Amino acid sequence: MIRGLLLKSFREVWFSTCIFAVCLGSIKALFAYVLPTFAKDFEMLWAPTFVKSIIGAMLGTEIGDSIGPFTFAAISWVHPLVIALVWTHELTFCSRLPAGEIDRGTIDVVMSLPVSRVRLYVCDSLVWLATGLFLIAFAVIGDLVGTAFVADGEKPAIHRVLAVAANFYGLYIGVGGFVYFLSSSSSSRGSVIRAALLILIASFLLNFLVPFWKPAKSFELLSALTYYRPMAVLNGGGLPLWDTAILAGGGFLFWAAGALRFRNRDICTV
Amino acid sequence: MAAAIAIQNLTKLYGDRLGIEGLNLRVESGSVFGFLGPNGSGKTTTIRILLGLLRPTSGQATVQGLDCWANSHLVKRDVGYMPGDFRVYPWMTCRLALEIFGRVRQKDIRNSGTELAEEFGLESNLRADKMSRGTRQKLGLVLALAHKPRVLILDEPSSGLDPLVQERLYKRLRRFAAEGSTVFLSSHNLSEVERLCDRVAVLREGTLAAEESLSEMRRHASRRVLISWPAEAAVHRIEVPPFLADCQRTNTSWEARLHGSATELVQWAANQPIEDICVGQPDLDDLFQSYYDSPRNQG
Repeated sequence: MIRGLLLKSFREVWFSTCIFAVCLGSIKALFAYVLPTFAKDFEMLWAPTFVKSIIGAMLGTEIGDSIGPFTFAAISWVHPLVIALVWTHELTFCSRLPAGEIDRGTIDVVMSLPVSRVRLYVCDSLVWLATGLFLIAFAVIGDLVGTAFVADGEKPAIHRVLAVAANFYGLYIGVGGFVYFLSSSSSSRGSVIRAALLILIASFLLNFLVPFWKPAKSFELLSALTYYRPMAVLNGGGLPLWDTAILAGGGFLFWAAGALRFRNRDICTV
Repeated sequence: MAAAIAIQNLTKLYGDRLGIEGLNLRVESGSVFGFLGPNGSGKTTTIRILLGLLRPTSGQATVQGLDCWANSHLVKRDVGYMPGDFRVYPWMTCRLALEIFGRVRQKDIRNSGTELAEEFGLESNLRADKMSRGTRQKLGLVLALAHKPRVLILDEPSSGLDPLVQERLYKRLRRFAAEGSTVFLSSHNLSEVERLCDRVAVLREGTLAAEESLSEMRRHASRRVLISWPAEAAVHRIEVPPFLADCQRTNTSWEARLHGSATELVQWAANQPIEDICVGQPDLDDLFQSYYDSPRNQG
């Protein structure tokens, strides 16, 4: 029974997931190769303060004068293009059930099957978790391919890259769980995507504003990106367990609330 | 023995808006049950409650003795359903659908499904995004029937189908009922209902307007009556009897609707200088129209 549901979800998303994974892997490889080279030139320059501030804002941390060899490696993990690719994948994936299915009228077919709503939700979520692993694995592979051409002292150790990847997966769960929750409460995929996008942009903006604007500091904890810190990990920190747990735990709570909502709601297609 | 479908005091409100109110129905196993009503009368709401898509505000609906909300997933093991406008994933083909649905149902439905697809003239490898509406309906029917359900719930099953496939569907449904399964059929097509159904329920504004067997309905449906008078008869002096309604009169003919028994008509006609009289079949269209008309419109 579960295999049938997994197969259905997989058939629906495999093509777009592969495209996202290839794009993500390629961009990561390019950044991993190009950015350390740029770092060498950058160190030779006297970096203006505002440039440091912008880099700090992008990384979500104050970097002061300590622009090290891994600062630019960290940028490749927080670059808006990388984040946008993963979030777009999540928005399209996690808004499918039930909002997307109701929107296009296929929910009737799915729900004519002898499967409980919770099982349906769980099976779809298993494919979401698996595609997340797949995407992030491509990001790691891209990173490794890119850094293969970089001198040893300029590339981070593999265990630190994996720790960043784990933190990134925590972010993936946090965002996806939230989108599942929105989807469970709506019958329109467009509304779900709009609401989620608005909140994600606000979260990104908040994280960016913190180093520049004092009032933003008070709301810092509300931004998902506050708990995603590749810079700290690559510069010697271990796996950010607490941050990853907050992201994954928050995502799980939203996801579970979504499951409850989906279990008890009316499904109307007209 | 439990009824195939039992609905007791079922009410569904959408906020302030009424879906259905106090609905009671019992559909026996092995029958074809027609479910009629104008748009917005509550047919689809009832069907969606039976499938566990909507939670009743009050009352209960059961299929094969199982509560449709609490045991929805168990109910659907033995239910085949086809919605009025069957939508499916664009990448899905009939072959793939049979494989996936079979796995979910833990039943190999590929052979029975392929046989049905051949019967309805459906190509196995055609993607859903290349299918016309009628072809999608065929796929819906294949998926609803392939696992040989005990109860079949069909919402406007023949819409979009060509007459040949419609005929094959009717044959299949009759065979299905003869084997002891139950068909619950919502339709606007009265000839389809007349040909298939044993019993009919009519909904109007969320409540049950009528529920009876088709033979009972025929008995009190009106009939068209055409009476020809000889040219020399003084037709204008003859009074129209009360059991002939909506009488259109000319100098040589009357066309009217017979409300009441044919005996009354025959007795009355025996004493009239009639040249010819012609009585039509019971007019179910007219009867349903009277059920469909809301009390507000009837005033």
